[in-house]
Amino acid sequence: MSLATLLQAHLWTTMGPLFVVGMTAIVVMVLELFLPAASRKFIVLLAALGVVVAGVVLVHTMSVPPELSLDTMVSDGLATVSSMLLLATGLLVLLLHLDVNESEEMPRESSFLLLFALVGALAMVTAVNLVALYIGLELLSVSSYVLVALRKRHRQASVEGSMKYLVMGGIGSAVFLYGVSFIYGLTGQTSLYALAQASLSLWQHDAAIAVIAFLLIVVGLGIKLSLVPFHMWTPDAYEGAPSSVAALISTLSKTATFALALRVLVYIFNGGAHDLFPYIAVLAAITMLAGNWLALTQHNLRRLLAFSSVAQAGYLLIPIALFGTASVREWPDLYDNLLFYLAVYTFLTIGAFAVLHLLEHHRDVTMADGLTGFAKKSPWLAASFIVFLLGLAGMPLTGGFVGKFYIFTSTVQTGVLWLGIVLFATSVLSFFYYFGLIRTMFQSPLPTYGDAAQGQAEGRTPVPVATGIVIALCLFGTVALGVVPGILLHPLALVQWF
Amino acid sequence: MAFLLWIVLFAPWIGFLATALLPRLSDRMYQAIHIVLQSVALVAVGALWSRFHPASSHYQAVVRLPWFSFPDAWHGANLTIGLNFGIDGLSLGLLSLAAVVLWLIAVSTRVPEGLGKARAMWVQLASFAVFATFTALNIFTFLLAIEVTLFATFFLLLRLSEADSQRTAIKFLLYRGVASVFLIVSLVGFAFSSAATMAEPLTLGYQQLAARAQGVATANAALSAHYSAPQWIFLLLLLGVFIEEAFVPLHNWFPDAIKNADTGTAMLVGGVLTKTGAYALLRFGVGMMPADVKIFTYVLATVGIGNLLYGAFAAWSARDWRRLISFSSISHMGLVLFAIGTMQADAIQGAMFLLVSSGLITSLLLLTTSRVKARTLTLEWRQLSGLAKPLPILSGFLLFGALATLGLPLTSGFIGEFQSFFGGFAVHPTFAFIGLLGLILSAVYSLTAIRKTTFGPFTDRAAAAAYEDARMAEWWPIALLTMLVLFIGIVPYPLGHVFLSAVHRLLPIGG
Repeated sequence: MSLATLLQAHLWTTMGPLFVVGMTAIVVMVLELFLPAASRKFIVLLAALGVVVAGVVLVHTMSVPPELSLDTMVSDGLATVSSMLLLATGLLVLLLHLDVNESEEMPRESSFLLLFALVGALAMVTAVNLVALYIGLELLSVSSYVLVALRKRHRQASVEGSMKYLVMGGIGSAVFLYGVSFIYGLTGQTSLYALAQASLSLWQHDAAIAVIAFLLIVVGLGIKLSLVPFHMWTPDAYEGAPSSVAALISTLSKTATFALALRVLVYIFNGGAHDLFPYIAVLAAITMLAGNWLALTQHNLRRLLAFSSVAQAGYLLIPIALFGTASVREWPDLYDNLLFYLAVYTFLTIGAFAVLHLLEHHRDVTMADGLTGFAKKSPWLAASFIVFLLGLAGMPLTGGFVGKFYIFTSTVQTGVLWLGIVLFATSVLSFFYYFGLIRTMFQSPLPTYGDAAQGQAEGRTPVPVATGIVIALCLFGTVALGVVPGILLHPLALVQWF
Repeated sequence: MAFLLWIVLFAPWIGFLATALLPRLSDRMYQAIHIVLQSVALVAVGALWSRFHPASSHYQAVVRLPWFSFPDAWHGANLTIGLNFGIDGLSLGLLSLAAVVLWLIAVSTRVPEGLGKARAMWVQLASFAVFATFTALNIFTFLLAIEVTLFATFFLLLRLSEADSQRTAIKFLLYRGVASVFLIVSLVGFAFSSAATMAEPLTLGYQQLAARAQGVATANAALSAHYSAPQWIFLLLLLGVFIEEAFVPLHNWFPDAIKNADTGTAMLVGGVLTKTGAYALLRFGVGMMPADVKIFTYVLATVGIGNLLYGAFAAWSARDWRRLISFSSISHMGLVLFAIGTMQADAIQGAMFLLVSSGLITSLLLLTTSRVKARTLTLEWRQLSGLAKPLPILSGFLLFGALATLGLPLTSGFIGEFQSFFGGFAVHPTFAFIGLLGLILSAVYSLTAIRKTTFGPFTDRAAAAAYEDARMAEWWPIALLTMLVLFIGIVPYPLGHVFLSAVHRLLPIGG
């Protein structure tokens, strides 16, 4: 493939953002070698600029009907909408990284690794070929393993989290690949479109092997998505990672992997969906229950957010599980559900991690107890944290409520009501720890004697500009999606998903 | 007329926003904003009374705020979600109760030092949500309002409770959170199930849903059959209602909240929030799932009478006023449940009377006892005795409250109890007969409490001599409540008229 073919228009419709982010990553990588450490800020800003340009390219080249290039990359609704969400996520994470980079004294590799993770994520949502999908998954995963380990200040926890993530993630990739290899062995195809057509006959002739392949793929993706019982790496990785990276692995990889899971599972297994997808429903229920249950006993803020994100993954899995009983006419609805809640979840999680970063860095708070008196000392910051927590708990006037309610209506519509009941019942369970944190913020600090009081920085927590912008954007997103959800619901309804 | 409802709903909402956004005013300023806006809402509710037509069979003063829509929610059609409000007789009655109680909270309860902002903010949010709960015209609005009451009250309990605030608040949140889950699942399930069974568009509006249940022709098609909800939907609703109403054995959150909360929050919880469950049962159970209510009438009667008796016994064995108040409220709600279960027009009207009356009496007692506690520093009977001598005015009001609790004729409780039993004897004579025992017990426990506190010798002469009886500023709100209780008892016609129109709306067939 010569450079000239690269510039062909149809490739840009499917891969434009990918090119731009990829090239930015390479430029940033080279520049970082030459520029002095003092210009870190500039490098991160350059990376953010690349992401913005990619967003412009994406909007500019949007095409209906979808185009398929090289029989591998597609620009259908799922690809376009997920790419938008991923780029927005990438931008927010990079902005947060601007401050984290400085305060954690991260090594220089961090910025371009973030960009490569984004490239991998974009590939995961645009590719319709199993090989390309796998490459995207690995690119995202490998970049994340390294990123988790880059927290210099807390080397031990950081490396421990990274190792666990590496081992478990490696197993996940391998198991996924093993499952995919069965499919390839049976059909000789790697294109999802060809597989979708062969799906029914695959199910009719080789049901036994198809079930094995299905389970392997679900387990593999389950590890990546930190579904219970494959979630063991999650709290350690979150605890060890720099805040911006923790935000990245809890939002960017989730969005990309959910889009990938949706595509792979629905395209390959729609022939046997009715029999196979109930397994996913059970997995979703277990994840919601166990995730919320485990979060109850956590006192470390990071680990608490980790388990809460496990539980949220369970909510997000519901739309995929519903493909088992939904008629094709109801499919777009499930896509809407998933993407809407993913958007809400992204704002909530990045916002929460941004506040958490400030707490950790400026007040040395890692445990929930450290939040005492927070509401009094920094009322605005505390108020934003409360909004994020209320959103995660699914309270009205935040996007969390609309998202959950929307998913719930789908469970009713497709006749899997029990899953909807689990959704709301476990949400009540989650009140306990989300509201527990809020409660702690309003408590007055215990009287301490002598030096014990020195540990807590007194007064208002300073908010750096970039982090302030991230928090403000996330707040805006959370509240806007709760108060005028139509701004996202209606565009989503117009999307031609597949 | 619709603009009046606008005012009712948005006065507290504006108050909430203003309080939340205006930084660093003095506590008095926050309270002033609160009082002004709460008074505006009360006056608007009063004006609604003058414009309300009981004869009309439609919802009145309808306010519609289109909000957003879930695309393709049902067979390719959008599900439009709006905040719709309006009133019928039932709404108006309970809205008035809520407006009065919330106004009294604003004007007459003490604001703890330094918490003026928190209190004004959350009480106003709660009051918006409570008004919205009683006037909602679709399921979404109702559920949203219930959720907002939940977390607004959570913050009130957390910030203002007099004792054990953390545990009380979390307990309240979990119990009522579970209840709201049951309500969400049951009501949304009901909407979908009725749309599926009748092959009609999905709607969340009360009017259309009730029309389907009652076999009235809807806009699209003349219905040949009634829609009746599957039984599990009704059972879920019932579970939600039981928790909201604090029925034994799901009542655990309620006595704690009443005991530990500050007076204002206790009035909100005891006087208003426990009425939302019964409201839901009337609106959705009686109005939309009448067949199920008839099927489960024995369950309602058993639980209702069980609570009537349990509440009465527990109130009898109480050792302090707050506990007595909470269990007597549970006891009254038991009678409400029993009356609703009979599906008799008389009994249901009685149940509505009981709701209003119980809300007023609970608030009256809470307010009076808070004045007493300000002097004696305790409400435990062991340490109280002979209050009639140093505190004649407060003791008088306490006696009146106790008499109203036991349903003395000419007080508001009497009418409700009489009508409930009147309808009850027609359907479940045995249960009604057992329930009468509860009435006797209510006389026993309230009079015992009076005997132990206001009569008898002083336990602590020196302290008692120093007590100063309530001044006008303190007792006028109690006097106002007293007059309301007496007014409803002596001239029940205005409220009864309004309620009767609601009964006819809810029970169009054989009502």
